[in-house]
Amino acid sequence: MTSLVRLLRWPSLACAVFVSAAILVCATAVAPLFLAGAGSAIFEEYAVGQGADGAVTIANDGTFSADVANYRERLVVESAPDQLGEPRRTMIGAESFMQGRGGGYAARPIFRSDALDQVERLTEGPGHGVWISSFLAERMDAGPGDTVELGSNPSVEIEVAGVFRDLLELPRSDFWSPLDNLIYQRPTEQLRPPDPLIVDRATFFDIENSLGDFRGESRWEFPVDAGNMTLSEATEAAAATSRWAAILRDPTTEPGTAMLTANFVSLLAGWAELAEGAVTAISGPVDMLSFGGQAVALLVIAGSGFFIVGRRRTEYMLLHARGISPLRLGFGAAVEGLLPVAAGAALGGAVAWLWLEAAGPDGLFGRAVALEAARAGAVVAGASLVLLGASVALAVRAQAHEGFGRVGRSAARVPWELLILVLAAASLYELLTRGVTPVEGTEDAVPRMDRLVILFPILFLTGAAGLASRTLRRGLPRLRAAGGGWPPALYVATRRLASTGRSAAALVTAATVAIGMFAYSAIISSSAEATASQHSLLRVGSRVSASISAPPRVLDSADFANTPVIRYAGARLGTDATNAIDVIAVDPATFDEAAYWDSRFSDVSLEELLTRIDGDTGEDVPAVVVGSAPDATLLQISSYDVPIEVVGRAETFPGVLEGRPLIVVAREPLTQALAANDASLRIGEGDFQVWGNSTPSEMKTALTTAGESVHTLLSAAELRDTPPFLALTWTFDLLEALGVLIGLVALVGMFLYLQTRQREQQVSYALGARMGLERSSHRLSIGIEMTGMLGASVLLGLVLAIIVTVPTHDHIQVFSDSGSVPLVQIPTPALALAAAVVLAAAWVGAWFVQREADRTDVAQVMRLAR
Amino acid sequence: MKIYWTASGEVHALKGIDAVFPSRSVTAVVGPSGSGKSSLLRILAGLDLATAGAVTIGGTNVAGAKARALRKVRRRFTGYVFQRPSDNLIPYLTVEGHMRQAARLRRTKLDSNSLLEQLGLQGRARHKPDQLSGGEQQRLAFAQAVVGNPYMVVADEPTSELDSRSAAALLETVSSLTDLGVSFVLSTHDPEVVKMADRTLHLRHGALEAESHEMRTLSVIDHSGRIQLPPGALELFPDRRGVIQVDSEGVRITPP
Repeated sequence: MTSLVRLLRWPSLACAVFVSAAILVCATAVAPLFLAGAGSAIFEEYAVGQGADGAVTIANDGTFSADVANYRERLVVESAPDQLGEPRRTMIGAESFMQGRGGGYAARPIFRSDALDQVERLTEGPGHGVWISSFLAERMDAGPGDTVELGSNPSVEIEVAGVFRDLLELPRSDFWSPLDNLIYQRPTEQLRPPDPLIVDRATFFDIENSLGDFRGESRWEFPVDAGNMTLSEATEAAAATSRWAAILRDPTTEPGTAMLTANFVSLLAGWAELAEGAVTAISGPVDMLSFGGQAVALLVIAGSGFFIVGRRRTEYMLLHARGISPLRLGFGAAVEGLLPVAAGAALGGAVAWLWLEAAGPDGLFGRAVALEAARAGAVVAGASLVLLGASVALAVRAQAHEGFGRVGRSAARVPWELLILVLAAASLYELLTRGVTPVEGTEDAVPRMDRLVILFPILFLTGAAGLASRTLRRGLPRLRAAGGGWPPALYVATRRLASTGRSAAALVTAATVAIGMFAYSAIISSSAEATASQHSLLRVGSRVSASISAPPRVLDSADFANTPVIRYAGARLGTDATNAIDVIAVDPATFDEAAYWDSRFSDVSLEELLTRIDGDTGEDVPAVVVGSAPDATLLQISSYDVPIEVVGRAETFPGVLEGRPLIVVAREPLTQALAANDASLRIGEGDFQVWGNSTPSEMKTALTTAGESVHTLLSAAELRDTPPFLALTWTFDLLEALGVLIGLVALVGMFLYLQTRQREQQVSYALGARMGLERSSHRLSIGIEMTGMLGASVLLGLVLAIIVTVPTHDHIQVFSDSGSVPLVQIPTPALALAAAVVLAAAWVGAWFVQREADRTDVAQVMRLAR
Repeated sequence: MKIYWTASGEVHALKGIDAVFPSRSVTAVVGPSGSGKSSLLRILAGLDLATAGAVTIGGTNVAGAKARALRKVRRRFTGYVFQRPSDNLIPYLTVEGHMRQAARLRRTKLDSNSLLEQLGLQGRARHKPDQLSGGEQQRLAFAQAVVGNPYMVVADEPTSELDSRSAAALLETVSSLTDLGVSFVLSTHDPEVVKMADRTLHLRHGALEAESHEMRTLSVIDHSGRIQLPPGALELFPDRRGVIQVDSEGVRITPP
């Protein structure tokens, strides 16, 4: 029992073991928890973004009589997997005509679960019947209580129960989007799709029976509770859904017989696959980060063993002299370390959990993953105890001059720093020869990040730091000859540094690696954030982009910069049908103020490019070619030929989409060219947009004020919340968090060093004090000593981190086809703060050492000190 | 023989020592600094290996023993007392705790009270090392070393950091402990230690120069016939050449 608490007599040593164990278990546990959480969170993002309410859709032509419909529905619902929720039922009647006082209008009855909760009710009557849109109500001059006639020979008279706002006047809603083709898609601008007549289930069947027309569609949309599913549960649900689909297609089963011609669409498998792909894409770097954290923590634990022997040298040498083997002493140390390691492991696991809850992916871990993480944490905690014992045994052998045998002596001669640097060089070579874009990125999938992006810096920092500290060890003894006339504090500090040798080198190595890893992680995270930010702004074109229904114009009433843009997707460059290209027509007068631009996008300024496309080139429309598209003289937009003259090129341009080349023209010349072909800007699939340097709500307000109806709003910030971005953002957050943890090692190392040196130099301080060395001078000397070493570590760590960023930052350019330029952003405030914290800790440590020294009983020190 | 290999070359710490250390005796080892006293003691204590020659402790030759065997020797057969009193004691153990630990390591039962009384430490059983004087600490160190009745206890200058009264008390303790059958070997510069020792070995330049016993000092002749002249006699032979005359009464060495 006493062995378990013995190490607590030396709080500094127990603390070092405790903190190291916490870092070790945190780094170990965080990886599986992070990946599991990321997987379920990404699954949820995909599901919510693409309609979790309709994860599985079964659509069947025909609406049937009530009895048949009920029978088929029972078969569908009862055979559905348990993982799916209660379905949303929809029955869509055949298109018909509604006759009223204002004439006849196309309409179709629709029953959809909870439909009346998803419309804006304008007027309502007490009766029971059909809800019509405000468009129909206005033109037919009908309201609640009026009777309208649907169909013609046969026809049916139905009472109007209420009026709801025309859905085309409102932004698309998630509820009605599954019926997009019936409600929102106009055949032409002048024609509307048949207006929905919202009815309840019984009324629907009455109408169908009266009209005798069952040509409609029955649909069931099964939701999935994406927010409460782990990825493995989602994968299981997808598999169950696939089995269900097979049953519904099997004519030998009752459901299959009834639903043989149904159209079965399940998005679950796709979402699960994408989420698994995301986890795979980030698992490499996440594993490397975990490995880096574990390696640093294990090194500190090993170092703690040497510090333990140094601190308790008398005890260990005495026991060794009495014939106790180093192994047995190491075992004893492992037993003593059990409590600090256990406590540290618990803390590390808790920190991992809490960090993921607070700042990590907002996904579920699942019990199995949590148990696996706990098991892994327990294993490494056990390994750390073994390592602690082994390092104590080695330290005892070294102190007792037992040596390490031939193998040990040979091992000590191996220049490990050079070996590590060779490995670093090999990993760098591998990284560079894989090409600039080892990352694969597509519109929907998560780009994969090479794990060498993490491994190479770890190796390089460790090897370079080791070499640097070895050089320092050679140079420090020369300080003995220096500074004969220096002030006492500086003189004492230089003498202390000259005498430290091995322990100073160890501290400098550990602190340099820790600070270097922290700085690298901060630089890479910051750079990736900046690059991702640039990418999203390029995609959207500005902070916000809104799609509207009419050709856009400048919003004069808006108090933010905005510009109208028309995008034509799927145009053709030249006569070659394979040269698919996007075209955007911009307003040169307002574009440069509202659109996002970086001078690195082109050799020519944006102003110059806009001037060129606004210039007069005769009948040809001036055009800027973006990306890899070839020069050409003809553009085809929706079968209309537009002659162009290329007046400039750009590497990238606002509005460019990944992997798709772009042509930029000015709106007015394009309008004239289309007019020459008896066409207008409304040709084909033109997307009318307004870009603005605003928030989504400001844009919507401005558009509504201008009388425009908004179809969609997209902001650069929202784009960064899509799964491909999120997975990477979380990974870089993890990189930063582990970087901070590893950075703590620098402080732990400093703490151990101070403790060891203080004990070593109690006698010299006691004698020095008796000979007139002032307290302030002694404290200053410690501060100078620590500032010197940690300052060197900070400087070296930062320099090495910047050096190692140069070849690697290209390889986190995860959006290779977007044309965005990889950015290197050095988070100077964060790094300066970290440096200040480390150096402040040095002075705080000096203060504590002085306080301990002041409490020392000189007589006792002389009697008991080594 | 003991040779150390260093970066600057070989160091011959011991150049052939032939000696016997009887039980129930105290042997003092004296000599100037660098004469090999510490090296001899470390070999006797099983802390180091002789480069050549035989080292027999309790009938067991430990000369070429491996580390494991040497540890067994240290556990069972020998005890070592460091020069500095504090180096012999663990700061967090009481006096009684030290004795119990020593007994546990030697796998022996212990009547700590009588031993502490014999050493004049009765009443200090619950005290920690920082509560003891230097002399008390060193007496405790010797007490631990003799637990389990080892063949030999080796002490490196045990009185060097003690005042004269404490040193005297310690020597009295050591003398009383020989009754346990232990052979004590003490390296020293202290004439009081030499005075109370049963024998004194004089080392110089790694070799055994002379041996003192019962008021007589005998020069040591090694197995190859070499003998070390006392430093004062060397002045008679400035050329380091002499004439040896051997007759029935002895050997006579005169300058040429």
